[in-house]
Amino acid sequence: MTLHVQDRSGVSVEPLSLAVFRFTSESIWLLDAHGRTLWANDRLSNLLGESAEQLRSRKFEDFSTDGAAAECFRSCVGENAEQRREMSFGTEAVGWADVRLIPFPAGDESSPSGVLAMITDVTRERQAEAAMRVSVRELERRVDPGFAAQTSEEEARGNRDRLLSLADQIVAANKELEAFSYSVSHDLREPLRSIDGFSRILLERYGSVLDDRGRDYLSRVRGAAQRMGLLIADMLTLARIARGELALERMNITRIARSICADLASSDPERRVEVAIADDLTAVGDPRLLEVVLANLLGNAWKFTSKCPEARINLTRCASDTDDVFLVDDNGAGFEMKYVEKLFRPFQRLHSDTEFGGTGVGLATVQRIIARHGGRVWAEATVGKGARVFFSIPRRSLGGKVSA
Amino acid sequence: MNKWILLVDDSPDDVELTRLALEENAIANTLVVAHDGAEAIEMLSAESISQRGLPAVILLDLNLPKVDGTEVLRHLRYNDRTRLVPVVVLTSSEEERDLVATYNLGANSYIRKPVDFTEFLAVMQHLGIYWLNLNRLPPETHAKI
Repeated sequence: MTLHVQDRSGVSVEPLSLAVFRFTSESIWLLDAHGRTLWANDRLSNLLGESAEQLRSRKFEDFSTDGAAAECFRSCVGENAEQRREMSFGTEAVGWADVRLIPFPAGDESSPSGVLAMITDVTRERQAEAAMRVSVRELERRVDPGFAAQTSEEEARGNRDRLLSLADQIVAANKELEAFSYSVSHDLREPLRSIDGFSRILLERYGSVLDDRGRDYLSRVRGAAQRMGLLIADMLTLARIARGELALERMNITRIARSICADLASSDPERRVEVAIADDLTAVGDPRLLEVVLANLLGNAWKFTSKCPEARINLTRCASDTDDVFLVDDNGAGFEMKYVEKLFRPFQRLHSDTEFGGTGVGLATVQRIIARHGGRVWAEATVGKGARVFFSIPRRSLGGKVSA
Repeated sequence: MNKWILLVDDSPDDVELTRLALEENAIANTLVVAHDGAEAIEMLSAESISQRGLPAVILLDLNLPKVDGTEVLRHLRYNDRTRLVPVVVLTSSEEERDLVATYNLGANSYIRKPVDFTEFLAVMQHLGIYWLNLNRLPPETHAKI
């Protein structure tokens, strides 16, 4: 008994087998023993860009430019055995296809009466793989120039494995670097205690046996030691930021910012600064780290408005669909936009020490913290009119309460 | 008996700076220095204690040659003669694990050695007032129980 698919009126329209082919996700092509079209589904028409009508006058081998299709078809019919091969396939837009040829049996068993071709378009996969191979090579070259000389055996190991091993290498190198920078900063600090301590004792106890010039030099030694101490302390903070997990919670930005500004005001009581922190600013982040961000940005605004008679500092939220974006702006010294790239690099300063003091590590620290949160920091400024520093933090839901 | 201080520190500079800080703060108590962990343990042997008694406070650095500070602390707390003697860890380490480990071993205090000499002077002043004047020590007979 043959099953038939019926239309609405109940009339049989075609055998079930063809109907199934019509609805499969693969491109199906029924061929006679010479490779001529018996039937093709719509997917094949779409794939090859030819109508069912056009396909009827075509042969299977017409769709490969290098003869691979013809050869594969010959093997299938000649050996009366299923063939599977990946080949470039198509006429105008040649792509890569995974081609399976399944012979259908004929009465005498030695040669098939026809062939069922199942064709899957794998062009995009192959393109993605090729792009990935290029990226992996590029990555390898960047991670370790000596590593780039791949043998074909290694190539065959697969991009995924190599990407994972590269990622491991990068993570390990990063950890090593962090540990190194931490221990270097830590050990560098030890001799400073001696320089600072003994020069101070020299000044205090033996200052009378030195002339003014001698005392001045000794003061310079102490000043330099103290500056180095600050620099190392900042480096330690920077190194420490990369360590440890982020402890995310919904935090009250407004409260922290106001407390920082209160501290700034009390440590600098003779200054009058108009500070405006918007109400109800919150974000999901690591409170310990974001406090460092706010302290740096507000501290910078405080510092760079110090020569302004009517200093003004604002912290506000900017509109964004995906992130919490905040803006710290001031009407201070600003900077030249052509140097904006340097702003977030460690030890880069846009002002001389005599103008405004600092170590050049603050904004690098800010950037590293914001990057760890998956956000971005950027700035714009006008010389003499002020600076605007923006930072974004991706919006996450925690379901937690705002920390009071 | 004169209250004396045992400083366990391998850095000659830090030893001299500690001496200077005590002088600047007019702390006249005897300062005895052990330059590594083994020497410190030796100075707290039964024989030494019978001659000089226990120190009023031990200022213990952690990163020491031969026997490191945590080992010294473990030894002191394990030993009946020394298990109650006040130990102040005075180190430049900011590692949280050192802090936790030494408290677990029975340190009485953990103080970060400041880099700035002015701050260091202040720290030594506090230490002197607290451990040499304010703090009361158990009688040495109790320490032997």
